[in-house]
This record gives sequence, C-alpha cells and structure tokens, in this order.
Amino acid sequence: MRIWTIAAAGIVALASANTASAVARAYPLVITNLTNGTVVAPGQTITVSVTIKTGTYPNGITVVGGQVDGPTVILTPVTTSPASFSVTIPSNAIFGPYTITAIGMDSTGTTDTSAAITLDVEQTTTAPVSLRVDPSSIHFAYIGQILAFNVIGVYANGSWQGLTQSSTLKITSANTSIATVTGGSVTAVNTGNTTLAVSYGSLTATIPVYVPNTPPP
Amino acid sequence: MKTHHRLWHVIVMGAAMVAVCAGGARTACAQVPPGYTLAPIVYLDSSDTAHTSLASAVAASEAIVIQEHSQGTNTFGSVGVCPNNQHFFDDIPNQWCVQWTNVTPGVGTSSATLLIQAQAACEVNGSYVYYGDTGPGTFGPNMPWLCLQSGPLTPTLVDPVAAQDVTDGSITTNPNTLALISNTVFGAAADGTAEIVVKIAAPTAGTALTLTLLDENGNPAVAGSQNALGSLKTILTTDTPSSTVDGTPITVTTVAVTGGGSMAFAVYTPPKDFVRDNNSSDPLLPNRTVSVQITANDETQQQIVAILRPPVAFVHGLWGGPMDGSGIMVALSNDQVGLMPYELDFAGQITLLTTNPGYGPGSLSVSGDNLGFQYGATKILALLNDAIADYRNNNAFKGSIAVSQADVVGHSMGGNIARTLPLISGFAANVNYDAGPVHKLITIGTPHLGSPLAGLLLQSANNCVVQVLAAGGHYTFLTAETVSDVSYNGGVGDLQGALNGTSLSQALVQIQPSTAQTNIRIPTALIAGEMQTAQLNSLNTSRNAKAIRTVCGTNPLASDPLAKDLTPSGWQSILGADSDAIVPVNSELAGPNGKSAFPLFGEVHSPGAVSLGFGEPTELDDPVIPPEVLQLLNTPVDQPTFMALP
Repeated sequence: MRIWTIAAAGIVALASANTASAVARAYPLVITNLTNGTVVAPGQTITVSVTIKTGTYPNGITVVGGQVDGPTVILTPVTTSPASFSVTIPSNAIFGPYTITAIGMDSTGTTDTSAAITLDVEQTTTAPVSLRVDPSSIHFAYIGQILAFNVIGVYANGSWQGLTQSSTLKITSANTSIATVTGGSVTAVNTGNTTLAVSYGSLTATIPVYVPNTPPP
Repeated sequence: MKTHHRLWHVIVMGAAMVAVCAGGARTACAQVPPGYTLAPIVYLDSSDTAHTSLASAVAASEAIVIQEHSQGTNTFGSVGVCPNNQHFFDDIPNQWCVQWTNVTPGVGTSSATLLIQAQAACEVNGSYVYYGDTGPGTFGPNMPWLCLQSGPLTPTLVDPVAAQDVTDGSITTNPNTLALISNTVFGAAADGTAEIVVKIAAPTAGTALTLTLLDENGNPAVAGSQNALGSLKTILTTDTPSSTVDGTPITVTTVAVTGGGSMAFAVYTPPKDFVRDNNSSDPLLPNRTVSVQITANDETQQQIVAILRPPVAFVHGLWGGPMDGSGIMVALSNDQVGLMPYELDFAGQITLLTTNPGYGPGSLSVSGDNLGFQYGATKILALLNDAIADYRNNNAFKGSIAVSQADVVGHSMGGNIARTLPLISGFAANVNYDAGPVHKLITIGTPHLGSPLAGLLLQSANNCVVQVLAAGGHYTFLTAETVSDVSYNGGVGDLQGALNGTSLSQALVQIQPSTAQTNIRIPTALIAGEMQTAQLNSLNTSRNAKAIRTVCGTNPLASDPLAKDLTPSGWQSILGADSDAIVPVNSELAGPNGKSAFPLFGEVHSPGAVSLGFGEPTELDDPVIPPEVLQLLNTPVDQPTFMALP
C-alpha cells in the first residue's frame, strides 16, 4: 500500500517546519534536451527527451505540460529509454511559464517525476495594440501589505491575453522606498505615493500607488 | 426664481483661499473669493466611453465644460448647450472660481503642457455666448483660475470615506469636520451603501433650506422611491431627524462653521440597484441622474448627482487564475454600459514547507489558488477593497464618485471564497459603512455543496492521477503549512462533499445558512453548467483522457479508480447524471431549494475539465454566459433570482 508522504522512491517527504529547508532532490528521471527559460510559442511543437537515471519503469514514462491558468497536455507513455516525446504547446497557452515534467511509475507502484523544466511561452507574431492594467491604481490599506495586479494585452480583434507573467513585460517602481514590485505583486514599504512603470514592447502604462500612514493590523 | 443645474467633474478642490475675483463674465483670477468652495470641472475626453452620455447630460443642463487637448491628438464633442433662456450667468453678484491643476492620470498630461479649451456656453437670445477662455490655449499655471458666477446657495457633494471621516460605520456629525471634507464627488455607485455628504454654503447661519430629491424628469421622491432614487437624510444633531424615505422633503438649517461662512449638511444614499424595477431603459445605460433641489426663500438650486453602476470583480477558482474570467470580462466591457471589470488574482506563488498529502522532500512553490477558502478570501478581500478604491476615480466617467461595494462574479471555488469573505476580519469596515464590500454575488459552476471528486482525489488510491495533475501545477492539498508556520486548508480539502450534498468539509459547513457564524447575507444568484452527452463522450477519444487511463488506470501498478472511471459511464457513476463534469448540478444550485438563474445549456466546468478530455465549451468561454451575467447585474437584488446566502 502506498502512503501519501512518499512521493519518490525511497525518499521520505515531510520535514519539520522548524528544521527543514529546501532539500536538493535526486530525480530518477531527467529531461535532457531542454533548459529552463527556453522560449517557445503557442502552437509550437517541441521534442522532449527523458533519460532514466535510476530505477525501472515497466509501465512507461509520460510527459505532462501545463500552466496554472492554462491548458494541460498529457502524453501517452512510452517504455523506451531514452524516451522521446513530441509536445505541442497549446495554441491558447497564456504567455509566461509553462512547465514540462516527466512522470514514471516504478516497479513498486510509486510515482516518480523529473525536475520540472520551465519553458517561457511568448508571443512571436501578432502584438497587442494596447495594455490594460487591472486595477489601474493601487491603494494599500497598510504598510507591509501585498497586493496583486494584472497586465493584459488587448489585441486588434478585441481579444485579451494575460501578460503579467510574460518575460517581455517590464515593471519597475519609481520609488522602491515606498513600494517594491515583483512580477504581478507589489508590496507597500513606506508611506507615500509612487508609480509603477509598465512596458511591453513599445506599449507602456503607469500604475499610481498610494501607501497610507497605517501600520500593519 | 432662478434654477441652476450643475454637473461638474472634479479636477481639484482646494482648501480655503482668499482673494477676490475681478468681475465680468470672462475672467481669469488669482484666487477664490472668500466663502466659496471651488467648483469641479467637467471635461470630456474623446476616448471616454461615457462621452456621448455625459455630453447628453451636459446638454440637458447648464454646465461648465472643459475640453482637453491632450497633446493635440484628441477630437472633441460639442459643447454643452444650456436650456432655453437659462443663463448660467445672471445678475447674482457672486462668482465661482475653478482651478485647473491637472487631469486624471492616464487621461491628460501635466498642467504645464496641457492645452485645453475652457468654455461655459449658454444660450442668449438664440445664440451661444461663451464665457471663460474660449479658444484653445494654455490654461495652466499662468492662468490657473476660471471664474464664473453662481447663486448664493453653493452645494457641493463630498465623500466622507475618501476623507476618512467615517468612524464605527457612521459619518461624523460635527459640522466643522464636515465643512472641511474636500473630497468632491459628482455621484455615487448604486450600491445602496455608499454615502455622500451634501454641503450647502449660504451667506448666513440660521437659514432653513428645504431639500427635495428629484428624478431625472424633475419628479420628487415619494415613499418607497429610495430603491429607485436613493434617499436624503439629515445628519446634524441640530436638525430634526428626517429622511426622504418617507416621501417628504427634509429641512436642514445652516450653521456657522470654523474658518468662516455658514453651511447646511445632508447625507445622500444612492439606490441599491442601478436598474430600477420595470424600467426598460436603465439596463442599456452607463449612468443615470437624480437631483437634489435646494430651496431657500426665492432661490432654488439643483445639484445633479450621477448614478453609476458598481464595479464588477471576477474571482477565479481552484487551479485557475485571473485570466479565467477574461472571456466574460471582455464581453462585459464591450457592452457599453459603463462596466469596468476587475479580475482578482489570488494565484500568486506561495512557498509551502509541508503539505498533506506530500509531494516529495523540501519546500514546494505553488500558486495560491491551490489553497482553500480562508487563504483565498483573505487575499480577495484586500484586492476587492483595492479595486473599489481604484473605482472611486477610475470609473466610466473617469471622475470621483462615492462607492463602497462591488458586484462579484465567482467561478467555481471563487464563489465559495466570496461567500467566505464575511468571515474574514476586516470585511465590515468604515469604507463600506460596516456593510462589507460585496453588493451582490453571481456564482458560476460553484460547488456550494462540494464535489465528490475532491474526496476521491484525497484518497491515496488515486495517487497517480494526483501526481499527473500536480505536474501541471494543480495540487491536491488537505492542509499546507508555509515557511512562516502559517497553516492553511487546501482547496481540494475544502471542496469535499458527497454527491447527495452531505459530508461537507468544515469550510463548507461554515458558509451554510444554518451554521454560518455571521449575520451578513449576500444576495446571490446562481448560474449552473451542465454538460451534454456529446461533451461527456469526448472522453472516449480525448488524447489526454486516454493517456490518464493508460498511465494511471489500466497500468496494473497504479490502477487508480479515478483514472479507470475517466470514461463516460464511469464518470457518471461518480458525479451522477447531471454535472458540469466537475461539480454536480445539485451542488452548483446550493441544494434542492436552489434554482439556476437560467436554463442549463451545455457547458463543462473549466479549461481544466477540457484538459481531462471533456468537450468544449466551458462555463468560462461559452458565449451564452456573459449576457446571463449582465442580465443578473441588471437584476435588482430584491428579486427572487437572488438568494440571501452567508
């Protein structure tokens, strides 16, 4: 019988909150031909090669590609090694990270995975005609609060595409002593007003940021 | 008797300033005369979607119109036309001054570089007379004031929330504090909760003013009309308490205020719905108006109050993100009714140190949408308050309004999260007069009574399916703990519920009407998806479904029941005959007493369901859904379509 706290063969998972830190993990499966950050386009077909480092996978290895806010691709398993897969990035993938993970099941029935490879889905053809920021201004309730915002590309045909996680998107705070920004997340550092400058190619937008003189609750 | 109408958009309101404007109709002066409040300015921007209707509103009234040239790229609409024989400027020997300093960010540029055309146009003997700076020119630092004449009664609308003059959910009753509120607004969102202080400056203290609320045709408020027009009430303790709710005008008396001058005060509360009962025009409009008529002796003023729709915010679900709502939000924003949708995102990355079930050694960075109701509701409450604060100035009018609540559209677990909001500390706050920030809730495919899938995913027998989902970033958690030792429920854990609506998770129990520990009830309408047979049968041919069946089902080492059941007949054995592939219809309708606002049409739950092999369309991209959402946004909250849910 399998138990939940074992996710990889021979490696016990749960660590105490007081003592654990990130543990380097020896993955029995390795994606060998792709590296983190490789730029791909929606609809593009790529090859994924998986090598077995340890163990055997009598029922084959499969590849799962997916996004939190986007479509998932699951491939039919193969039993050869190295295993080669053809993965088509979904045409409706959202710009930003897209993970590719190999999964196999060993002879004990335990599911093993590779380390995920994070590809970067980016636009290659049509560009948006304008940017929309949501919300268009950020009003913090207190110092230390973290709020999220979205940057959306509006296309000539009226469709929208999420750009917040796109590597092409640049966001900077005009005054990092008042607010700092990471991805789509902005943190109130100190009382005052500042702005976030957003750019995507030649398109730009500005997000006013207001931080009141209110301590954390 | 002279009647003045004003619909002015705030550019800037200054503190008390003293100086005297030179007389004459076309005047630029240095500072504001004593005892006068700075008047707001209307400006029209060709990119403003409300342009036509605002121009129409101006055309129906006398108004000041400041038209902007933003870097020479805009074109302009016509200047407002005054009603026949109603001259803004007459023989009343007082003046108003307005100051130009800047335009709303994103609309124009700084005052130093902005070219504008400032005009007050009134019909005199059949021709238009323009006052102010009649030609395009620099109306900035070198000519910061435009002086106009007005009557002795000077009404101004201000927002006590923006001025932080609300304590314990109530506006201060101190006239000196009220007099200092300078956050001018030109209207309010129809949420029934926001409040506007009507300040009326008058030459002397002790003057009794009669205030009557009028509809757009000049008809006075009658008993029961607060749902259509909103209501006026007294606020000072020196005034006899009264309200237009009972159908009568109210009387307020001017008092001397600190700093000189005299003022009377009243409070206007907008109607709780933008669309009035049995009104066929309102559903098509981005705004409407009411007027506060102020009468003293032989002088009558009318202050127009614009009524806008509340903001609309979308809350995504488990294994989702803000762009889940894009299809619906794009459609709503294209409806030309002034909707400004916000998409609230609680899917930002969070680092978990331990999880149950576990996913291997070490910390795990996941998106926040994998966590449960409390985590999501805490994030959404902050984002909702931010969206409402943004909407105060960034609405269809691009001007300041009073607004306290938003309409929320929740998909899937987003609906559960919205219903959890009243349990979160800070839900009832001064910014919403202790009523909470949710005006109405529309749920789409929400598992109000959970889904049997959640319980199955938490069974170790389905580990293989769980691992495959996790590889796509979709984690199954019962509980999780962050590196800061903060514990949260998982989203899947919170969504546990049996097919017959029993065996609910504690998180679901907490938001059921019979057990919720809150007195706040949110008007909630339900949209349910139900897949058609062809969508279910897609499981036979879907590549993803086949792969899951192969990897986790027929594979003898895995043999996950859930993978084996990823067939048309197997799935029906789990979710019953009626579901959207993820949530039973009974749960989408919150039980046997719930009813769908619309006929069930043929949608599966989400793009994630399509990834499992179910056929399109989904509740998020079926084109029938946005018109249904708009219809519910247009439906008054006291209609039976809305259930009162915690």
